[in-house]
Amino acid sequence: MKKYLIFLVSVIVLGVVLNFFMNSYIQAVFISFMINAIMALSLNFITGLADQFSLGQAGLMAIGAYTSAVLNKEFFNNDWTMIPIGVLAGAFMAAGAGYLISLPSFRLKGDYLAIVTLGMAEIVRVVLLNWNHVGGPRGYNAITKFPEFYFSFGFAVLLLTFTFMTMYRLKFSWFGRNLWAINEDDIAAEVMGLNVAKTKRRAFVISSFFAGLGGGFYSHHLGYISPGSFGFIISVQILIVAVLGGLGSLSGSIVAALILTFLPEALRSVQTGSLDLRMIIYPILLIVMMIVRPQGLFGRKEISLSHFGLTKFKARGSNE
Amino acid sequence: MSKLLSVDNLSIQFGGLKAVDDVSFHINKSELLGLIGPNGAGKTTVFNIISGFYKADSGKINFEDQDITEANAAEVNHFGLARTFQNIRLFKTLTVLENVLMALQQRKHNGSFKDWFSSLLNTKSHQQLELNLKLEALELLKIFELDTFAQEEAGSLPYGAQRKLEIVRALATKPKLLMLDEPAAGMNHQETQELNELIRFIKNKFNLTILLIEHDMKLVMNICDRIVVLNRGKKIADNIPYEIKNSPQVIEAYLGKRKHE
Repeated sequence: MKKYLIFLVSVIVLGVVLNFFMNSYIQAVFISFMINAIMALSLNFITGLADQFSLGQAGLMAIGAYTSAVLNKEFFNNDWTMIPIGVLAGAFMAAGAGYLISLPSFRLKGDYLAIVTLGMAEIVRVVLLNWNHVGGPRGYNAITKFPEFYFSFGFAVLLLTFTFMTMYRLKFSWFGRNLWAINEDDIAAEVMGLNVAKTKRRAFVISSFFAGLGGGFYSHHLGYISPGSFGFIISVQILIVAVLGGLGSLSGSIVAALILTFLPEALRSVQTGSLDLRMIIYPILLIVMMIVRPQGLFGRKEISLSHFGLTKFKARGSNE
Repeated sequence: MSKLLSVDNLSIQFGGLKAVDDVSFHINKSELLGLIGPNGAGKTTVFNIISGFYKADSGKINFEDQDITEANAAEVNHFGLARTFQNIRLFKTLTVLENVLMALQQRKHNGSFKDWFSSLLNTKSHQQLELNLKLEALELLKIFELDTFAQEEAGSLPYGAQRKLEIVRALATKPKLLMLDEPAAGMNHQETQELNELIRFIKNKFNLTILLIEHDMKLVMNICDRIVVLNRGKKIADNIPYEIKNSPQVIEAYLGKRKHE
């Protein structure tokens, strides 16, 4: 009980600080961070825990984003109080799409699966590009936003907490154990009586759901989406966050999202004349990171939330 | 004696190679059957067909009067067959306890909605179920004196203990028939001796029927009730160990024909 209270208080304090003492630029970056974290978590669930390499996260994000945006504009008369329903609908839509994709593609493994999911994301993008009703290449404009920052912030925290807690519980449950087992040795897992294909499909549907959730909120955060916002490069960026945090470490994904969202922004100020140092420092940092800690910041471990001041590491998984 | 498993006219072909050619045999209840043969005789292939990894080109497999010819590996396990592997396939970075838990939970967590929500909400009944599973797993580990390693990573165990753990994990799925694929591979004399006792022990303790593939002749002759010999995909003998030892066909398969003077 105490840890929930500490969490709640720190969120409120953070919200108050951001709302009253920070400018709207930093507020927006902070929300971007939480969206990135949700996206990285959704990818980490399928790629980190179940070891199924997916490159289609941006496609699922697009499905969530467009569903939520269109729903709000066409059916809810731009009513901002209906945003949560739209976002949830987007998540379910993405989960449904994820299920359909998983049916044929989870016979494949590794790189092949990555290519199929990548192709799926491209199909989604191209369909949106040619769909005039949702703007086509011009994108979808004037999507309802939350009127005040603290609504937006509160909703983002809610979504991120929901995402994290669901995945955290699942990771340390029977389902997580099954995923670890598949990750380690899928043949042995099957011999234990586990339906491996079904388990992978379920993991992918869960991952798709949260990708849709992140995407849905993304559209209401920016107020504008276009097929270009969900290109291949976005899938890769999500992957970079998940890998940097450590594949299999959920809290690692959040920390990595924090770093990789704020770092490029912080490096903007380093820009000197015509020389854009940002584009030099950022990749170098990533390369150094991959050399020094190839398993990511946290490997597979989690930061224990029970000690907020003391970051205590739970011995879990290896790679250390 | 009643038959537990019967294999009838099993054949499989890989390209031009008939890996298993019209093999039939059966295992009686609580019998310890050895499956031997020279390298490449098709022993492991037979194993893989029975356990659902390969689909036989022709033939039938019956287990307790149920046809399991078409069943996949996971379904075969649910019928009550468990197997180990020639090269150890543990979940290496999971702890010893989690390895056993993973096998145990396949019978307890069926993936129903209730199952999902109770684990998401971490309800009391879910915690109780997890606790019971852990206790059951620990008890099983204790029988095999592996409980002291419970929290260690499976991959860090000594070789002999890893072999043992693989057997424990297979037992955790509560099989009626345990299929061991070369359990003594890579073991020294003393470890093989211990394995000998271990196999006898689990057979009695869990009231099991065992199908054993093994190269170590001493072990096979020692513990098997009956032996089936394969050579080049064909069954060449099916008898008690003493007869097998003196069968000219078997000796020929292993050592070649004696030259006539």
